[in-house]
Amino acid sequence: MIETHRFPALLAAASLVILLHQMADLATLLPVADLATPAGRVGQLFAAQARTPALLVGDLFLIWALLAGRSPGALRVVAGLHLTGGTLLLLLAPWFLIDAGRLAGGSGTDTVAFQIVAGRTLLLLLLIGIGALLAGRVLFSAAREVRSDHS
Amino acid sequence: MITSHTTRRLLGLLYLAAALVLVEQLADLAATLLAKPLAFSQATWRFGVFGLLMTRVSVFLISDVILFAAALGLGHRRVLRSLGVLHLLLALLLLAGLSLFVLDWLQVRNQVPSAATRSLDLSGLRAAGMAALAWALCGWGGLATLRATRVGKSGRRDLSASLLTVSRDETAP
Repeated sequence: MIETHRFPALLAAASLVILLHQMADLATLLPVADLATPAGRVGQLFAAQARTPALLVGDLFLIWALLAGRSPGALRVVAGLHLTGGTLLLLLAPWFLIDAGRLAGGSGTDTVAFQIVAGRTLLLLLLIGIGALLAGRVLFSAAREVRSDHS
Repeated sequence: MITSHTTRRLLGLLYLAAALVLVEQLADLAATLLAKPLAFSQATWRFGVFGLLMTRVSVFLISDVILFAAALGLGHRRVLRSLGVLHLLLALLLLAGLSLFVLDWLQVRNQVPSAATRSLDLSGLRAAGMAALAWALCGWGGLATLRATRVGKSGRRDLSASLLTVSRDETAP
């Protein structure tokens, strides 16, 4: 038999490295970020958005590892993080919309391109925010299930 | 091991997906590196190349996990053992690369103006940190895979467990 009890831990470690890598890349942008102006804030969010696929995959791997590992404590911590992150992302959406609205004035192909990118970012913020809230809820239920199985 | 025919075919496709991600990343890296003349003898070039490689760690890890998931789901012991050996080799290469990178970092640090030192240090620290994490993960993954796929005295045994469904309760003695 292939002994697989070590693999949830390996998967969790791989997902943490992926998440840490993405966070480190985002952190390098912060010292040069101009968060005082709408253009700076929107630019920062666009840069963060480019990291979304890897962050999502890392998060999925982490959830997979936690579900396979069946640790109620870790499941609750990650559920809490998802609920907090999801709420923050949903709160960020109207703020981003106001900033992007200030920059989107005028006409021409550049403005249309900006509107498309801003629309995509807004959609991502909303979808990821809702997804994180749902994931948090599911992870809390999973933690409860695992706890009742153990007891 | 997953027995449903459709699921097994889908899991087989994961090999292809992982291969595609790997080939795309390696081709992209090769294109970036070959755009300028190779300069193995220059510390700045080696420092830059290692840093560039480390920016791809996440994507390599993603394809790695996909490969493991496919091999575990399908119960492919030989593939898992090959992956284990490959990871141990990668761990050795990463260790050698990291050592060389730290030496190059110190050398490059003396060549850049003092105003750029902080930025260089941050980049170096990030790349070295990712390399150290990747090294630990490759070493651990390689050893764990080789141990997990060891065949006992009775010879080839049933490949019945799966990462996709395993729990501690199921594997407890």
